[in-house]
Amino acid sequence: MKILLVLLACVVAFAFADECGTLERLKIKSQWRRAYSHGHDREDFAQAVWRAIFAQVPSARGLFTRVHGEDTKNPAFIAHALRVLGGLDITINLLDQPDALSAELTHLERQHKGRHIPDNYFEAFKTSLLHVLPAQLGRCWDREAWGHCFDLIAHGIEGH
Amino acid sequence: DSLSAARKIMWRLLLLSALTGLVLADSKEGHGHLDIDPRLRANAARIINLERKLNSLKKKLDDAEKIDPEGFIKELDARVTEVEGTHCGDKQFQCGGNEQECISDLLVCDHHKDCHNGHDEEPSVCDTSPAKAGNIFSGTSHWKQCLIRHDHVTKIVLTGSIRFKDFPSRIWVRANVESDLVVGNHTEESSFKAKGYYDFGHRRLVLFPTKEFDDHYSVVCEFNHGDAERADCHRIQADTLDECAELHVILQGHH
Repeated sequence: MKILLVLLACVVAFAFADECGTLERLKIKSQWRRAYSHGHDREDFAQAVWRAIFAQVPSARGLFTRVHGEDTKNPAFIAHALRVLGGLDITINLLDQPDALSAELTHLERQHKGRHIPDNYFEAFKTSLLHVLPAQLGRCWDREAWGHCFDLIAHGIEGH
Repeated sequence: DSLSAARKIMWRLLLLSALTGLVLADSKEGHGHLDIDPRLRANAARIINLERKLNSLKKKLDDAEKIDPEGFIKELDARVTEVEGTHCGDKQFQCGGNEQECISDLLVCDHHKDCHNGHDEEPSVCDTSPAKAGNIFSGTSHWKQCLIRHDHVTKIVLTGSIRFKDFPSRIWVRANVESDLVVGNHTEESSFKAKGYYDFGHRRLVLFPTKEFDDHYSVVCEFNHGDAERADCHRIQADTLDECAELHVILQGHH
């Protein structure tokens, strides 16, 4: 009986370990607010994130020809980069309101449908965020929590 | 050294005997008595004199190497720049030159020119040597608050470093921070593992204690002396950024 309980506890702990839990969601919300910043800092943050994505998957630029993905300093691309972070901002801010979050994710999924975005592009986005965020935040950031909650959002947009 | 000095004397003797031989051979044919050509003798004396001058010049060259005017100017420039301030935000880098332009430190040394003058990608800015794995920095810590401690020696040993291709404007590092504490009448070593990063834009090395060493204070070093060997460091409380101690470190060598 005891062993069973311990086993059960482990399973529960494991199940919670790679989920974006309630406390993790709150953590991500507040850390994102600092990282996302405002004004020029926000543009530069977006710039760094997108450069890191294209450095990993150069072919992804092909998806952004309409917004001048060949030059991340082009005003059209800057606008686009900010728009994408804006979408991420909405989802992160809704992390503690599950219904509104799933509505937003459904909306974003519809926007991305038909663009044939491979899963590894979402992975590149995640890697990029996990590199730029600690540079922006210094010590006070939680890599595991970011990994879990980004996966939740990305899977919602991918639709699987 | 003595060997080269002996060799020099030997050369001189050889030179003299050669000259004498020449003169002797010459004189046998002529007057038949030992007589050195005064011009040759004067030349030999001049050569010996020249050699002495060369030696003293060599010594002066060795002395000149000890004072490095370029390094001196660089240091002075770095100090004046620091006092002047950059007029940039906390997270920004000053491009310098006549344009005085500020760019984000996230974009410094990322292989894209963001300053109009390209200063953010120059080799002097993107020098990776402060964050090389194996670097050992050492200095004396002076605590002002947080802990009651006498001044003690602190050693920072960089144990690992990695720079990601997709985001090269930081070098991620691991380090051991070791302190020799005087407790009673013996010294004890206190050390902790840390991880952090080097930020090119601010020439700043930031080290946070890892989870198992949570009770230690972070180290923030700025390489603000115009070289990669000396840094002004602070021990800080990572959450509040309050300063606890200061130490000036010098590169001691490599592991």
